[in-house]
Amino acid sequence: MIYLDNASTTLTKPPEVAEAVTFALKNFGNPSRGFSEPSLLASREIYNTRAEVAGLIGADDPLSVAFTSSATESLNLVIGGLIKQGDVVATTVWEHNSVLRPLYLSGCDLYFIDPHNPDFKVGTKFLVCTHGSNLTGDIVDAVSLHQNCQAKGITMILDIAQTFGTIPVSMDMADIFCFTGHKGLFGPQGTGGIITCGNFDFDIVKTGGAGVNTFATYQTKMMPDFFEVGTPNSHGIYGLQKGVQFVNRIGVDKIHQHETALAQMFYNGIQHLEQIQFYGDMSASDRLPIISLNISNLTSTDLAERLWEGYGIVTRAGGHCAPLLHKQLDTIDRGMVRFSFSYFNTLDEVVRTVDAIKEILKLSE
Amino acid sequence: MEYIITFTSTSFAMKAEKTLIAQKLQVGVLPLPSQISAGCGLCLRIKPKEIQPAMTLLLDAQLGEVGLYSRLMENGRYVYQPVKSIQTPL
Repeated sequence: MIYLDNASTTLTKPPEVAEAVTFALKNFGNPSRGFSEPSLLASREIYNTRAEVAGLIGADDPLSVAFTSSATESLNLVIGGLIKQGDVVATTVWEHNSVLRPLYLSGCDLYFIDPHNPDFKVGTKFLVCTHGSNLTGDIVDAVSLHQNCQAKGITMILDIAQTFGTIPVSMDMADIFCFTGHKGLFGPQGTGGIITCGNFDFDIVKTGGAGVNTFATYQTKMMPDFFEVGTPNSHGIYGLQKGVQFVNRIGVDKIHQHETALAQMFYNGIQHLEQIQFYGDMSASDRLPIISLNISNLTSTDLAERLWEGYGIVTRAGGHCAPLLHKQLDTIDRGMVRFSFSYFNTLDEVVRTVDAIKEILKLSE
Repeated sequence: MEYIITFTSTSFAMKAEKTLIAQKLQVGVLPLPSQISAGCGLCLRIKPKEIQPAMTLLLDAQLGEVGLYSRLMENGRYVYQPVKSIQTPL
């Protein structure tokens, strides 16, 4: 099998990730709910994971990192907790449904900007946008966008599901970050989180046991407890810690360099083929390791099926939960096939995928 | 006699433990005593000779409200006396 669906989930993880999850399953008690060694072991490792994540993004305080089950949950909590009906909110057509649907649900006054040339309406309170498109691999200049927001008093919420661990992400890129653990951070599914830069008055959208203030009728509003009601996924979080440690050890720049080289090699191998249409800015100086395309006489699902059935190549066909960008690119009916590369993919896999596409083209003529 | 340091969140207790251990101070983690606050939570136990450097470190550790109590054993029971409460920046 050649796994090229890493923008969905990285399948190959550093071995210490699974080892950590197994260790945690056997040794962790309930974190924050006791002082026995098993409980404290879990609590301490959750804290250590916060510190690793904070280190990766350059946050001073590990407690500015709260864990959730996914970037989607993070975005729901942040958008649901901050954005009120009627608030003027900017976003982009690049967004995943995990951004769009919570925004629609909020009842805000939503409008769309070009992330490369933003034109903010007067009265805008929030910008919620992705750092990198899960569909095309195009990247937003988040530092510049954030500076623009700061000058206008706009709170910027950045979806870093596709970028954290894959390209450099830093605290000067937004006010609030929503991340996932199972993609570029090589953690288990069911992990993700929120990183805040400053204090925000979130409305309570999730409440329950938090290990403190048992007899109070309200939920504490402090980070990170505010977002972590109920028993956290300490097993997964410990696995995530090992994934983030791996990223910190190898270095995001080196990971990005390797993944970009693979994606570029793949693109170079097929770009001359007239039957292929590529999507996104392929001339950009920096991109995510994502190549999305269509072949002239095939739908995306046809091509993905042939790649899997005939060659064992895993890709992602269809809409990629990015409805507005598909609409803009006129690919609602046929979708696209997305090839997304990881640090653990190899040059040989790229060569075999290029060969497979050429063979499919010949057979479908 | 020993001192008990309290926090408004178990996450703060974990951060404080990490901060103090990194400076080679000896601390233990205990459940927040019911005599101090009803409900759940974690606190730190520390010896008197280390309380001064500990509190100095915690002042800069972004932990919200930090409470300090003395703990004495009297007639087979622990007795807690509030010493002070400090507000650290968040």
